[in-house]
Amino acid sequence: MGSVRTVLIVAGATTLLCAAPALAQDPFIYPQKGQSSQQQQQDKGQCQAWAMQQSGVNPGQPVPPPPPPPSSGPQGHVLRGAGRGAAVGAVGGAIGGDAGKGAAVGAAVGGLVGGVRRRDQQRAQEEQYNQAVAQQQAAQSQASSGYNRALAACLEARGYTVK
Amino acid sequence: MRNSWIWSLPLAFGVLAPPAVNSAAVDGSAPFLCAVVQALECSPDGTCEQRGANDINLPQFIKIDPKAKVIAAPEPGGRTAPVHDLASVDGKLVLHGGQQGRGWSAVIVGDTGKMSVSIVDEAATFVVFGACTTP
Repeated sequence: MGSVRTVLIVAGATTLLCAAPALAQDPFIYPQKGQSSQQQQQDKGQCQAWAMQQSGVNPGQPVPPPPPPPSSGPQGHVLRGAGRGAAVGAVGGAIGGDAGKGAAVGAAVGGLVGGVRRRDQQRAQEEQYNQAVAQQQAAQSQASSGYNRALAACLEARGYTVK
Repeated sequence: MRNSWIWSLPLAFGVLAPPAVNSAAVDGSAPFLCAVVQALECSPDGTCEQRGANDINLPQFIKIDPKAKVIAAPEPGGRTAPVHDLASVDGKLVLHGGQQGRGWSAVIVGDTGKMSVSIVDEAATFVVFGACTTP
């Protein structure tokens, strides 16, 4: 259940972050001085490049969402009832590696027992992640706004109405 | 003498009966592997909730090396925890350890491999049941 929830959170965050700049990038542009279609394209292209330069935002490259909260890692789901004997037998051959070598690595990533996650810790991690997503979204929105203002300034200076 | 064949029945069953399910006793003389079957998280409010091993970030399988006194997730570079104390008590292996503010204890029955583990900290107790086997 936890891993499913994590996937949904990440998917939702990714959708929101990717959608934000796309929504902000296409203002309506009207040629006040009767500019030709070709001239409009040329002006728009130049103004987009200028706006990108001024704002530091490239609307074609959405910012990736923050990394997902620490989750389960590679382990699968818990074994139940009838299947357990077979599963235990199947993996019996995995015994015999160098556990001492693993100890050094394991200590660095939280430890087997220390890394067990309580429900409240899981919730806190998810909240932290949601906050990071919200902050990033706000920053993205602000940057998109800067880009749009720059684009509008450029186009209006060239005789267009931008809404 | 007429019913003497009855006395041979227990002997016959004893010879023909299938061996125990686990191939070797989990006596602590060699590394062994345990599978997590069920995990519960108990809170100070008195409630216990069933949790998946995956949900509580516990490996599905745990390798126990009694000589190296370490428990480890079996994958390469997997997480580990030290075993602070290990003893054989009445045919059961009893292990204790601690890591990052948590204590844990495990009991593994030598001849069946049945395992019970508790992992405790100030805010919760995890109860884990499983089964162990040797190669």
